[in-house]
Amino acid sequence: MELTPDVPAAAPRGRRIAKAIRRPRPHIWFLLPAVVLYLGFFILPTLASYWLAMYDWSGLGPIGSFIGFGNFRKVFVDAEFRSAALHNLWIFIALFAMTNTLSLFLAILLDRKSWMRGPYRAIIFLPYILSPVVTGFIFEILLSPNIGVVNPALDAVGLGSLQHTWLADPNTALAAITVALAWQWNALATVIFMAGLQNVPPEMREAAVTDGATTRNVFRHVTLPYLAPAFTVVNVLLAIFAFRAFDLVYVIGGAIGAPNGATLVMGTVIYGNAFGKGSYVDTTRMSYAMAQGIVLFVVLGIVAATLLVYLSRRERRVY
Amino acid sequence: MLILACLVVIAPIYFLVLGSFKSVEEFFSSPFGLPQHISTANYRRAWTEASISTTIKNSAIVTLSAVLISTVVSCLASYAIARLPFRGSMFWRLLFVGGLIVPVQLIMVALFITMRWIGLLGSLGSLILVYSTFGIPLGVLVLVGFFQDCRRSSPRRRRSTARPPSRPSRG
Repeated sequence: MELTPDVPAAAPRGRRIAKAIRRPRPHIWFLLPAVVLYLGFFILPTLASYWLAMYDWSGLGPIGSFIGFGNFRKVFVDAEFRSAALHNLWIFIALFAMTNTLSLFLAILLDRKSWMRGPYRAIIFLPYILSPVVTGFIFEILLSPNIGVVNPALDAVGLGSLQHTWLADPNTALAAITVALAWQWNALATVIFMAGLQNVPPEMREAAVTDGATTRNVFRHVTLPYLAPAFTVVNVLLAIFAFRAFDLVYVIGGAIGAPNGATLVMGTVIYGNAFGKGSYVDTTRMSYAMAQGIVLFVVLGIVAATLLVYLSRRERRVY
Repeated sequence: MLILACLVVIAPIYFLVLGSFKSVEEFFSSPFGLPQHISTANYRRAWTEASISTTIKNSAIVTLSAVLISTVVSCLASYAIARLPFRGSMFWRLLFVGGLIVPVQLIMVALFITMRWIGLLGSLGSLILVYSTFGIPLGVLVLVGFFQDCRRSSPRRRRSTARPPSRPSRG
């Protein structure tokens, strides 16, 4: 599809280069709006934050002196950041276990062609639509010892001994937040698994059944392999969700991690360092927060890339 | 089993919706019960004291515009990456999708400075631009896969001159 006149191979180099430059490149125009937005409001701020992280800036007033990698060195010895990272890891493992069992199970239950499937799917997806801030408030009220319903409900069912000050006890606060996160996340995971299950060709399943396979074998050897792409998507998104969790945790725990730092996650630590922790006077450490943010970015990048590569390879082995 | 799952999912929302119709004392005394009389006082207070009329309008404007811009821009970019052969396609795809990983706190300060420089600080336009940009990574991630799976639906072209059949015709 040559729209420019052809240049003979023997033509001088200048003419050939000019033709190469003038060759139709439609992809540039398609990419242009996205690239402009993305570069201006995403890439440039990220690069700016890399640059800022190498200075000593508190966030107010003039930018201080250049300290190179000093902030990064501080991040690696910071106990608060390390405990926050461990909390993130805990959340990731808990959500990982729940998603790959519960959500998968629910998706399989919903796979039957019943007339209730559409409404069920809509209802189950509902939690993900709610804003994380609203979800945080709901769960904070539900679990509150004064006006909450969880404790009275436990009492009514007969499990009164399990009553607890869920959000005030450092041992259970993180678990409570994880439940809230799981409530939201599993909704999305179930819907993605449901979409993945649609891709399993029914002929394969019927062929396996007529060959005498039990239901469990049909699941293990026919359905599961076809779910491999859905697994990849769900688990990578899960890693990103677990390590980037911020809104919900901030609403329940705050920038200081309500019961004695037990609900800190990396997102809230960065926020606290960048914009100040709560009402008492505290110096903000913007550059340090940037450095922490970059460490979070790198850690998440490594985790997500590892998951992606590993799961894609398994995907390819199946297909 | 499914009913149980639905109950678990709905319980907090049910509590939220039901609680919004109760008066304050009723909320504390019987949290999970049905309200005695449905009072819309809370909604009226939200409308006036929390200026929900303004915030809903703002949310609607920002969301609609950002979704529109983000979808259009992601579609264009994903089509180029998925269907048009050019050398940097994998690079751009990775660059766009890698944006999912960047934590928001990192960019907030620089975005503030950028918006102040452009002069859009404190306006809905800044929100629209920022949310459109944040929607690009997920949009590109999903749409590139989608465009790659789409069958090419261009009609078959007919030859302009007649050619003899390449196979012996069935006798």
